Amino acid sequence: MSMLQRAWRWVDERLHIEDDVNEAMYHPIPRGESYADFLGFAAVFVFINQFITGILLASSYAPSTALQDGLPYAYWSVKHIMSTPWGHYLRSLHYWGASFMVVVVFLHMLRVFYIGAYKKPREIIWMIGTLLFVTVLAFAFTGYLLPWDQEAYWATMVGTAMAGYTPWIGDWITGILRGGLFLSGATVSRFFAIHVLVLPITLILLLLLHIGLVFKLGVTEAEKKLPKDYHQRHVKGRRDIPPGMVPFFPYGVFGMTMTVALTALILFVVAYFYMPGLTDPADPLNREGYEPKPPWYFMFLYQFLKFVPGYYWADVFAIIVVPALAIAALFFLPLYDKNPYRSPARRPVGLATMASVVVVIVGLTYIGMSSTVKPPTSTEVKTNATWSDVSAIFANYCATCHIASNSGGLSLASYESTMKGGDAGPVIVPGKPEESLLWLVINGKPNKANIPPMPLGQQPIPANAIKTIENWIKNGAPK
Amino acid sequence: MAEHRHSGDEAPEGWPEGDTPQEISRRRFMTMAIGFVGGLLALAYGGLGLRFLWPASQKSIQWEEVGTSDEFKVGGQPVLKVTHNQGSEGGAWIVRLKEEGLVAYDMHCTHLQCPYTWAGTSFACPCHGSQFDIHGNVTHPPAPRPLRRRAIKEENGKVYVGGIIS
Repeated sequence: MSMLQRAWRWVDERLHIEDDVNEAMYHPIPRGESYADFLGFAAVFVFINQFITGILLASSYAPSTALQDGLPYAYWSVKHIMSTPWGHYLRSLHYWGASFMVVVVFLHMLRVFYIGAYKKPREIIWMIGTLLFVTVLAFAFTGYLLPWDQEAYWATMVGTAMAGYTPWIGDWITGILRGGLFLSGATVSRFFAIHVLVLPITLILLLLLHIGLVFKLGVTEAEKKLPKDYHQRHVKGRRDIPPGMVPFFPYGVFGMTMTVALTALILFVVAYFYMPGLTDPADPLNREGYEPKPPWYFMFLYQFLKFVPGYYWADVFAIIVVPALAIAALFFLPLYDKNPYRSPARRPVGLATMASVVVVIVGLTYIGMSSTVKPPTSTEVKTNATWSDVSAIFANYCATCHIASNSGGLSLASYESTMKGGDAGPVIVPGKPEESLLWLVINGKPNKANIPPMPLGQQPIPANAIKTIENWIKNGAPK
Repeated sequence: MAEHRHSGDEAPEGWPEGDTPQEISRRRFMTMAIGFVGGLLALAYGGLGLRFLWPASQKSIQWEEVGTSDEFKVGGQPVLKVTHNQGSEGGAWIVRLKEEGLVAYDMHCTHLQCPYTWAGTSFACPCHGSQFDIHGNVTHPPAPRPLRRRAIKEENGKVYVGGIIS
């Protein structure tokens, strides 16, 4: 007996766990499982990545807004971490890990839904999974603030303001979250404590329960392949495997390892080639006119809110009630879904619902992302400007109000809608820039419709872009 | 024995039957004591946490000097001034109106607290397109309510801004 075996004997003599370990390691699983079935394990891997990189980042990060070299300490420390290539890569791994976490967990949920694995007896595993999903979103939300740059500051200002729409106790919740009326060093300390203490403990406890129950109940696909009397006939620690099945070790573990290897490879490569930067340090006065926008995984919510009419209770409904109902609908799914079948072919309503939800979320995310301001594509003046030149300018500077929505009845989304104009009538008079309402407002000139200078509340469009639009109108506004 | 028990004296399911009533009330007492002590400790720590994290009242913001009276003339444009709210930097748009005199608006949009700016003829928010007139009234949704006003006063030619009052 080797040293290791003797040590194991010593432990097992006292704890009697050999049977349980064998049961866990060698229980039968179906042959040829899809790699999609291992997505949950990929999520565990990404969490481990967040855990390790998070501890390393926390060893250099300072959750404070006191000034250090004229910069808020939190911002300064992140900049300091990023000042070496390894530090920058470390932050990149953590930054991208957050996005991977959201994606992998979402795909894992889709897969579990698709194969009906949330049905009896695994309802509780699904419910714990829903709580894990919410925990992951809370991780993303609290971590986003910590670099204390403009992006972080304003996304969190808006995110915590949303909690303010909770009826009756909204202002109080926002106050508790921020540790004051608005964001300050107190908010950073609070978010840091939640991000590195509260959420990791919550996630680890839920995860142990989640995975422990999967081991206890076995995977769904194994159920139908096991002989009916299997559990009666076999004692724990079995190594004999029914036909058509394979032992969890090494088959399942191999599949998991390959899924992890693939996930890790993509993460390492993406984190290497797309290192995150920092925007300017948080400026509570927003002197530079930074336009707040959420991280991509909350983009669908941001876009959704643009469709909400401006009434207090409509906002309460959109910001509080709809998300709360959505989470409740996820959480209680196994209880109200009475369809006994697991096979996708026999669950048309369920799958149609899932597909619509995915289409809506992906669609809103896409519209939301394409409506935010992008850096100008070209700064040179076009003399023979056509619709494609000016529509690129509109997409950069006017999209939030006039492409994603139709403020003042005006949509700049297509040539036809642009020529049609808005509530104040046509905005383009071909050949005559000085009579075109659009030209007047982007130049901040007085006009009959009394429309304020555009883009509203922001820096004017660069002079070259205005000149291109002017040339386009002069040339008769060609398509 | 069982027929003499009150419903509350019944042993919880799984407990051995046939114990004396004294034994059962002893168990009841211990169960309640466990619940009581557990509940008390939970309340104590919960209360401690809440008291510690409770946000300070927004009315407690003290007067802060932001400029001089002659900076703000009737008919002038609104000016953004820095203020310090509960330790965090913030700001107020200040303008002297003909009818109302000096007013200060908190610099955050009443929709989702993005920073709006003065766009020549109205206040405009870049996030979701809300607009307000110079009196702070909503002229374009989605903002659900007028701009929040902050206390403002003039003393000896100086202008002071205080807490949010609306």
